[in-house]
Amino acid sequence: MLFELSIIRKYLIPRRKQLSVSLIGLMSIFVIALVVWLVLVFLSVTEGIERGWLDKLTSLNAPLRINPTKAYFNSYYYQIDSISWTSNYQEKSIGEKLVALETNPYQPSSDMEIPYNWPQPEKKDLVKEVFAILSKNGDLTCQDYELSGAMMRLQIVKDNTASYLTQASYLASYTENNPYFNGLILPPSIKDINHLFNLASQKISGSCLDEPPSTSLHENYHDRLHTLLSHMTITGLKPTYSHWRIPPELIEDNSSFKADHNQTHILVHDHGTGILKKQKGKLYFQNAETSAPVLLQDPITFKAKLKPAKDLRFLVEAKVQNKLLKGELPFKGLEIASAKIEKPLIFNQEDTGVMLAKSFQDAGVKMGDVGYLAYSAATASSVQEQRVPIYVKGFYDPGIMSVGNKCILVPHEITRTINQSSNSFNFDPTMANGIMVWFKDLKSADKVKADLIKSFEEAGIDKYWKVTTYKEYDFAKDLLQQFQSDKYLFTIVGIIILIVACSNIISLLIIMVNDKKKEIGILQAMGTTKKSIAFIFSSCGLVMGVLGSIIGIIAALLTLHNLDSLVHLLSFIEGHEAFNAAFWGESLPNMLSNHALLFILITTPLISVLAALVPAIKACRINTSSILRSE
Amino acid sequence: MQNQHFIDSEVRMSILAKNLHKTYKGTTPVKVLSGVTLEVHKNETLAIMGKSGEGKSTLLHILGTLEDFCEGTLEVCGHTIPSSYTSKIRNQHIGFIFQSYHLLDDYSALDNVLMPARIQRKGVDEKKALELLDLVGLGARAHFLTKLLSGGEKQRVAIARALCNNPDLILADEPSGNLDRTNSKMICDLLLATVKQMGKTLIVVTHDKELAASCDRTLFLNDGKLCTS
Repeated sequence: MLFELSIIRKYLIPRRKQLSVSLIGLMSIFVIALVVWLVLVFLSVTEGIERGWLDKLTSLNAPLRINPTKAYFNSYYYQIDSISWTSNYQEKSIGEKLVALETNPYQPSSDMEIPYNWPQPEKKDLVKEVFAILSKNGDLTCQDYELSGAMMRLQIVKDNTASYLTQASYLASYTENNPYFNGLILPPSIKDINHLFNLASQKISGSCLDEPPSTSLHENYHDRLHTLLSHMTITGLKPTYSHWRIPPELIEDNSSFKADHNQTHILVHDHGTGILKKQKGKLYFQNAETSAPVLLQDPITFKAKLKPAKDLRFLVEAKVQNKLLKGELPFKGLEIASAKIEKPLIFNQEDTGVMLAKSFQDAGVKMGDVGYLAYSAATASSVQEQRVPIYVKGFYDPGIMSVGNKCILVPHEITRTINQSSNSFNFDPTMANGIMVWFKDLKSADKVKADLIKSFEEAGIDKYWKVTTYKEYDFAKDLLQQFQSDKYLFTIVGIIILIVACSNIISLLIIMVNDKKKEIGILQAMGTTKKSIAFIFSSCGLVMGVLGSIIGIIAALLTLHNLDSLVHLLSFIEGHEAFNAAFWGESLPNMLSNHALLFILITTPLISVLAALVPAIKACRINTSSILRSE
Repeated sequence: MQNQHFIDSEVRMSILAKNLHKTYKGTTPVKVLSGVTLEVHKNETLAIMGKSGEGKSTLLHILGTLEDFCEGTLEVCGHTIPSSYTSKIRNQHIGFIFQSYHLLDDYSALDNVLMPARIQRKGVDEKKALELLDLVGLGARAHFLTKLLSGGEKQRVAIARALCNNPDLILADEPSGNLDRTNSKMICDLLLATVKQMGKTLIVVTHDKELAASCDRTLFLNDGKLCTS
């Protein structure tokens, strides 16, 4: 082997004497590296996006769902509530069944007679049994969910005027047990925070007949603000308008500024021709006392700290012309420039806050906006519109769910209330209520499903429940199939361009074999076997493939590491955003995909060796005798 | 491994060829050898002479297993040819010396001499290679690239290389063909002296009558057959 390796080394090291072969060799390695880089970056980014989408899909909808079947709805267990006084003659949702004190609420003495065609009572509590099975597996987290629908109307407040947004929406109950839920919630933006502060500091005007219930709104906002402030620290403030009026109390004694005096005001700016000075609490311009308002020409951002009081005042500090402006300011006329979000918002089941999809932000909806959910409720004589007041508690990222942008996350009470009285949305009952199950490893979904079905069978409740994994969800099935076919397509395209890149190896090695004919002849005369000759040339191909792969992998790692900077550069060159954030996400995924790496590590050397086989066979077939005699 | 092939201590014949035929196929087939029969004993030196184009080199290449023959039987150092081990037989039992030297230009003289040992993979005895280079008078130039050596020096490296794996049979194809008279004589003397000294069998194809006369036996290739005169 050492002999062959020494020959391979000799053949592969570029030499001036064999300039053309060396150049073609370097070009081949470069092209392979380029293709490897391209394939790795592309597959890593697309896989990252796919993973991100899948994470969002399974975070919001859970990777596994357990839904009641028709057998459940036909069961005695489900139907008995409708004739039981203790259940208020209403069928219970899964959540209610879970907390119900009795499995069978029927009281023969007081309730109506059970219809003769009803099935026999089940021996087990169908819901509690499911939760008992789920709780046995420590890796699973579960929660019941309920879907509903309603017409949402939101009042959007902007610049003290209100406009309205109306949208027919799906409602999904909060799943606060979901361990990945916080990952979906978007942190409040500076705009949101400013909006909440504005709402807190003033009452909303623009009332109209259709205004949602807004009694004691002002106080509610203070409470919400208090909650908000307990989750974040405001660090910077700035004026909401240019030419901000500097309150004289912010200017320290004996500090002076360059300024110009206009007819109505004094304008502080760097190229001012006069001097504004404060002495003993009074302002002087060019040594003459003035009471004219002092305006600041340039924008300013204060370092700010909220005073521990209820009236929203801040201790602020900033430098203008290297002089300190320091003091206390009310929030009015200011807006938040920066804030540190310390922990995500915590959900309080008792309030009426809802989470909207992030696309609502584009429509101008901000945190704190109020509105209602309207649904129709049928009574004996008429169909009436009923309303549940809501406010926007935050925004979540629905990922790529087709209905995602119309889906509102609401407290359980709201879905329950609407489902019990509404007839405006007819959901398939086997889908509208169920149990979501979360677990860490998405790949184990099929195994978890099989285990659950087995446990259900053992418990004798399998016919009442249908277990589905995310791969079977109606809204995700097509998408997942698309992911899968995209992956196959990318892999095939990757293989094709790798073959094209590696085909350079064929031309190079054929030139090399022609160049080294005499050497091959001499080596064979000295006893080198044909196998060794084939090995030498195949290995040359392999080494070039591996070298190209290594260079390509390093380049891909560097690219992925600096992906954001590259995207910014691309956007700068193009003059607009290079990648649509709605599709690709805020930043492109920059983790090297293990699958892509494995794909490259297997295919590139393999294709390189296969490409080198042609010249290797040609080298073996050289007629030693004629070569040695030709000179 | 075929035991019979590599137990050659008892083999007395270096070459045992019977009725060898060789025809180059093509649009007009060329018959080169038509029934060559040859026996060469161990330690014997044999010169093969003949006119140019008679097929001397072809015969030598057939004897050296570099080329196939069409008909007949051949045993080289006790091994029946063709064999699936011809490369190994060539490596261990045969040393070649060519008219055009056929050295590896980008390697040093020492590397060239060591090449058959490296191919054999039995451990490289650099000391022995240096001794061989000393023997051919090139010890001082062991580390020179062969492309920098003169024709005579190159042929001396080729002789040292041919002896590297201690083969039984040396096949030389006009070893002095490319050299001037002085160098030619020097190389022929060196070759014969070395072969005699090391007890090798030598078959040399040559036009040099002096060299042929120095060999134990001389055969002439005429019309595809070997004859003594």
